[in-house]
Amino acid sequence: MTHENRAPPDGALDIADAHRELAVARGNAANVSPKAVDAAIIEALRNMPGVQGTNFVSRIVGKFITNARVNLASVEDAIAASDCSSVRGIAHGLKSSSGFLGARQLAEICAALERAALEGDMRSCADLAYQLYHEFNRAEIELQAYL
Amino acid sequence: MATILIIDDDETCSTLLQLMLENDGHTVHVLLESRDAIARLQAVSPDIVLLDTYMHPIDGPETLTALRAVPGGAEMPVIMMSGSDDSDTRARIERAGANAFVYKATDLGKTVQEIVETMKTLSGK
Repeated sequence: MTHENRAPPDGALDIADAHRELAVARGNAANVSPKAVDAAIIEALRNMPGVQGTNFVSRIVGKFITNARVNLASVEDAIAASDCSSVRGIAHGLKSSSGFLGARQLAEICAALERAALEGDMRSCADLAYQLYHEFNRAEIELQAYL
Repeated sequence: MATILIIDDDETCSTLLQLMLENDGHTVHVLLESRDAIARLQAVSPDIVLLDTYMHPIDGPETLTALRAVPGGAEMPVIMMSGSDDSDTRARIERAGANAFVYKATDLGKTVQEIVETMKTLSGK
Protein backbone atom coordinates (compact mmCIF):
# COMPACT_ATOMS: atom_id res chain seq x y z
CA MET A 1 0.00 0.00 0.00
CA THR A 2 1.37 3.35 -0.96
CA HIS A 3 0.46 6.84 0.16
CA GLU A 4 2.04 8.54 -2.81
CA ASN A 5 -0.20 11.00 -4.63
CA ARG A 6 -2.99 10.37 -2.18
CA ALA A 7 -5.16 13.48 -1.96
CA PRO A 8 -6.09 14.71 1.53
CA PRO A 9 -9.72 14.40 2.51
CA ASP A 10 -11.92 17.35 1.66
CA GLY A 11 -11.31 20.26 4.02
CA ALA A 12 -8.15 18.74 5.47
CA LEU A 13 -4.65 20.08 5.04
CA ASP A 14 -2.01 18.03 3.40
CA ILE A 15 0.56 17.20 6.08
CA ALA A 16 3.33 18.98 4.17
CA ASP A 17 1.19 22.11 3.88
CA ALA A 18 0.44 21.93 7.58
CA HIS A 19 4.15 21.78 8.39
CA ARG A 20 4.82 24.71 6.08
CA GLU A 21 2.08 26.76 7.74
CA LEU A 22 3.39 25.88 11.18
CA ALA A 23 6.91 26.93 10.18
CA VAL A 24 5.61 30.25 8.84
CA ALA A 25 3.61 30.85 12.01
CA ARG A 26 6.66 30.09 14.16
CA GLY A 27 8.79 32.38 12.04
CA ASN A 28 6.25 35.16 12.33
CA ALA A 29 6.03 34.73 16.08
CA ALA A 30 9.81 34.92 16.32
CA ASN A 31 10.05 37.95 14.09
CA VAL A 32 7.08 39.93 15.41
CA SER A 33 8.17 41.43 18.68
CA PRO A 34 5.95 44.12 20.17
CA LYS A 35 7.45 47.58 20.05
CA ALA A 36 8.98 48.75 23.30
CA VAL A 37 7.50 52.22 22.84
CA ASP A 38 4.03 53.08 21.64
CA ALA A 39 4.85 55.54 18.87
CA ALA A 40 1.28 56.87 18.93
CA ILE A 41 1.90 58.31 22.42
CA ILE A 42 5.00 60.18 21.25
CA GLU A 43 3.24 61.42 18.12
CA ALA A 44 0.30 62.64 20.21
CA LEU A 45 2.72 64.63 22.36
CA ARG A 46 4.44 66.03 19.29
CA ASN A 47 1.13 67.15 17.83
CA MET A 48 -0.21 68.77 20.98
CA PRO A 49 -0.97 72.49 20.87
CA GLY A 50 1.80 74.48 22.46
CA VAL A 51 4.49 71.98 21.56
CA GLN A 52 7.18 73.53 19.40
CA GLY A 53 7.55 70.85 16.72
CA THR A 54 9.98 68.13 17.63
CA ASN A 55 12.01 70.20 20.10
CA PHE A 56 9.85 69.47 23.11
CA VAL A 57 9.66 65.74 22.39
CA SER A 58 13.40 65.59 21.79
CA ARG A 59 14.08 67.39 25.07
CA ILE A 60 11.72 65.24 27.15
CA VAL A 61 12.94 61.98 25.60
CA GLY A 62 16.55 63.03 26.17
CA LYS A 63 15.85 63.80 29.82
CA PHE A 64 14.03 60.51 30.27
CA ILE A 65 16.91 58.50 28.81
CA THR A 66 19.50 60.34 30.90
CA ASN A 67 17.53 59.95 34.11
CA ALA A 68 16.67 56.32 33.40
CA ARG A 69 20.35 55.44 32.88
CA VAL A 70 21.17 56.95 36.26
CA ASN A 71 18.27 55.06 37.83
CA LEU A 72 19.35 51.75 36.33
CA ALA A 73 22.83 52.18 37.74
CA SER A 74 21.31 53.02 41.11
CA VAL A 75 19.11 49.92 41.00
CA GLU A 76 22.18 47.78 40.45
CA ASP A 77 23.94 49.38 43.43
CA ALA A 78 20.84 49.06 45.61
CA ILE A 79 20.41 45.37 44.78
CA ALA A 80 24.08 44.72 45.51
CA ALA A 81 23.53 46.35 48.90
CA SER A 82 20.19 44.51 49.45
CA ASP A 83 18.62 47.94 49.88
CA CYS A 84 14.96 47.14 49.20
CA SER A 85 13.76 50.63 50.07
CA SER A 86 15.95 52.25 47.42
CA VAL A 87 15.05 49.62 44.81
CA ARG A 88 11.38 50.30 45.47
CA GLY A 89 11.77 54.06 45.25
CA ILE A 90 13.71 53.97 41.99
CA ALA A 91 11.33 51.49 40.36
CA HIS A 92 8.38 53.56 41.53
CA GLY A 93 9.76 56.73 39.96
CA LEU A 94 10.70 55.12 36.68
CA LYS A 95 7.30 53.43 36.39
CA SER A 96 5.25 56.58 35.83
CA SER A 97 7.65 58.32 33.47
CA SER A 98 8.02 55.14 31.35
CA GLY A 99 4.28 54.80 31.09
CA PHE A 100 3.82 58.50 30.28
CA LEU A 101 6.16 58.08 27.30
CA GLY A 102 4.45 54.94 26.06
CA ALA A 103 7.08 52.41 27.22
CA ARG A 104 4.40 50.18 28.70
CA GLN A 105 6.39 46.98 29.10
CA LEU A 106 9.11 48.93 30.88
CA ALA A 107 6.49 50.41 33.19
CA GLU A 108 5.10 46.94 33.93
CA ILE A 109 8.54 45.60 34.82
CA CYS A 110 9.07 48.61 37.10
CA ALA A 111 5.75 47.84 38.82
CA ALA A 112 6.79 44.20 39.33
CA LEU A 113 10.19 45.30 40.66
CA GLU A 114 8.52 47.73 43.03
CA ARG A 115 6.29 44.93 44.39
CA ALA A 116 9.22 42.53 44.77
CA ALA A 117 11.21 45.17 46.65
CA LEU A 118 8.25 45.89 48.90
CA GLU A 119 8.09 42.18 49.74
CA GLY A 120 11.85 42.08 50.35
CA ASP A 121 12.30 39.45 47.65
CA MET A 122 15.84 40.26 46.51
CA ARG A 123 16.11 37.23 44.23
CA SER A 124 13.10 38.42 42.24
CA CYS A 125 14.48 41.96 42.34
CA ALA A 126 17.68 40.74 40.69
CA ASP A 127 15.74 38.84 38.00
CA LEU A 128 13.49 41.81 37.33
CA ALA A 129 16.43 44.21 37.25
CA TYR A 130 17.91 42.09 34.46
CA GLN A 131 14.60 42.33 32.57
CA LEU A 132 14.55 46.06 33.27
CA TYR A 133 17.98 46.58 31.66
CA HIS A 134 16.96 44.50 28.64
CA GLU A 135 13.66 46.32 28.17
CA PHE A 136 15.22 49.73 28.69
CA ASN A 137 17.78 48.94 25.99
CA ARG A 138 14.94 48.09 23.60
CA ALA A 139 13.06 51.25 24.53
CA GLU A 140 16.17 53.41 24.26
CA ILE A 141 16.87 52.22 20.72
CA GLU A 142 13.36 53.21 19.68
CA LEU A 143 13.42 56.49 21.61
CA GLN A 144 16.71 57.51 19.97
CA ALA A 145 14.67 58.15 16.83
CA TYR A 146 12.99 61.08 18.58
CA LEU A 147 16.18 62.80 19.72
CA MET B 1 -8.28 78.73 35.16
CA ALA B 2 -5.90 78.09 38.02
CA THR B 3 -2.30 78.78 38.94
CA ILE B 4 -0.81 75.40 39.80
CA LEU B 5 2.42 74.49 41.56
CA ILE B 6 3.66 70.98 40.75
CA ILE B 7 6.18 69.56 43.22
CA ASP B 8 7.60 66.35 41.78
CA ASP B 9 11.24 65.30 41.61
CA ASP B 10 10.64 63.25 38.45
CA GLU B 11 11.47 65.69 35.66
CA THR B 12 9.82 63.66 32.90
CA CYS B 13 6.52 63.35 34.76
CA SER B 14 6.42 66.93 35.97
CA THR B 15 7.28 68.38 32.55
CA LEU B 16 4.62 66.29 30.82
CA LEU B 17 2.01 67.19 33.43
CA GLN B 18 2.95 70.86 33.04
CA LEU B 19 2.50 70.68 29.27
CA MET B 20 -0.89 68.97 29.52
CA LEU B 21 -2.22 71.32 32.20
CA GLU B 22 -0.98 74.41 30.34
CA ASN B 23 -2.82 73.14 27.29
CA ASP B 24 -5.90 72.97 29.48
CA GLY B 25 -5.47 76.71 30.10
CA HIS B 26 -3.76 76.73 33.49
CA THR B 27 -0.62 78.56 34.58
CA VAL B 28 1.80 75.93 35.82
CA HIS B 29 5.00 76.19 37.85
CA VAL B 30 7.22 73.17 38.45
CA LEU B 31 9.46 72.52 41.43
CA LEU B 32 11.79 69.51 41.27
CA GLU B 33 13.33 69.99 44.73
CA SER B 34 10.86 69.54 47.56
CA ARG B 35 13.25 71.24 50.00
CA ASP B 36 12.49 74.57 48.24
CA ALA B 37 8.72 74.10 48.52
CA ILE B 38 7.95 76.85 51.04
CA ALA B 39 9.95 79.53 49.24
CA ARG B 40 8.35 78.64 45.91
CA LEU B 41 4.87 78.49 47.44
CA GLN B 42 5.29 82.01 48.78
CA ALA B 43 6.75 83.27 45.51
CA VAL B 44 4.08 81.77 43.27
CA SER B 45 0.97 81.95 45.49
CA PRO B 46 -0.72 79.09 43.64
CA ASP B 47 -4.41 78.29 43.71
CA ILE B 48 -3.57 74.63 44.14
CA VAL B 49 -0.54 72.40 44.73
CA LEU B 50 0.07 69.04 43.06
CA LEU B 51 2.44 67.19 45.33
CA ASP B 52 4.14 63.89 44.56
CA THR B 53 4.19 61.40 47.43
CA TYR B 54 7.49 59.56 47.03
CA MET B 55 10.37 62.02 46.69
CA HIS B 56 13.93 62.30 47.92
CA PRO B 57 15.27 63.54 50.25
CA ILE B 58 12.04 65.05 51.61
CA ASP B 59 8.94 63.09 50.69
CA GLY B 60 5.45 64.39 49.99
CA PRO B 61 3.90 63.96 53.46
CA GLU B 62 6.86 65.75 55.09
CA THR B 63 6.65 68.53 52.53
CA LEU B 64 2.92 68.88 53.14
CA THR B 65 3.46 69.16 56.90
CA ALA B 66 5.89 72.01 56.27
CA LEU B 67 3.51 73.72 53.82
CA ARG B 68 0.62 73.54 56.27
CA ALA B 69 2.69 75.35 58.89
CA VAL B 70 3.29 78.54 56.89
CA PRO B 71 0.73 81.40 56.83
CA GLY B 72 -2.02 80.49 54.36
CA GLY B 73 -0.70 76.97 54.03
CA ALA B 74 -3.40 75.38 56.15
CA GLU B 75 -6.08 76.46 53.67
CA MET B 76 -4.08 75.68 50.52
CA PRO B 77 -5.75 72.95 48.43
CA VAL B 78 -3.21 70.18 47.96
CA ILE B 79 -3.65 67.17 45.72
CA MET B 80 -1.17 64.42 46.45
CA MET B 81 -0.17 62.18 43.58
CA SER B 82 1.38 58.75 43.58
CA GLY B 83 2.13 55.98 41.14
CA SER B 84 0.98 53.59 43.88
CA ASP B 85 -2.63 53.11 44.81
CA ASP B 86 -2.19 50.72 47.72
CA SER B 87 -3.78 51.11 51.15
CA ASP B 88 -0.45 52.06 52.77
CA THR B 89 0.05 54.95 50.35
CA ARG B 90 -3.54 56.15 50.76
CA ALA B 91 -3.21 55.99 54.54
CA ARG B 92 0.01 58.06 54.46
CA ILE B 93 -1.67 60.66 52.27
CA GLU B 94 -4.73 60.83 54.48
CA ARG B 95 -2.61 61.21 57.62
CA ALA B 96 -0.59 63.96 55.94
CA GLY B 97 -3.74 66.01 55.47
CA ALA B 98 -3.99 66.24 51.70
CA ASN B 99 -7.28 67.50 50.28
CA ALA B 100 -7.36 64.80 47.63
CA PHE B 101 -5.42 61.93 46.11
CA VAL B 102 -4.80 61.27 42.42
CA TYR B 103 -3.36 58.00 41.22
CA LYS B 104 -0.51 58.84 38.84
CA ALA B 105 -1.30 56.04 36.44
CA THR B 106 1.01 55.14 33.57
CA ASP B 107 -1.51 56.71 31.19
CA LEU B 108 -0.73 60.43 31.01
CA GLY B 109 -4.10 61.43 29.55
CA LYS B 110 -6.09 59.63 32.25
CA THR B 111 -3.90 61.07 34.98
CA VAL B 112 -4.37 64.63 33.75
CA GLN B 113 -8.11 64.09 33.36
CA GLU B 114 -8.33 62.94 36.97
CA ILE B 115 -6.27 65.92 38.15
CA VAL B 116 -8.53 68.37 36.30
CA GLU B 117 -11.69 66.74 37.64
CA THR B 118 -10.30 66.73 41.19
CA MET B 119 -9.36 70.42 40.89
CA LYS B 120 -12.92 71.22 39.79
CA THR B 121 -14.32 69.29 42.75
CA LEU B 122 -12.04 71.08 45.20
CA SER B 123 -12.86 74.51 43.78
CA GLY B 124 -16.59 73.72 43.81
CA LYS B 125 -16.98 74.32 40.06
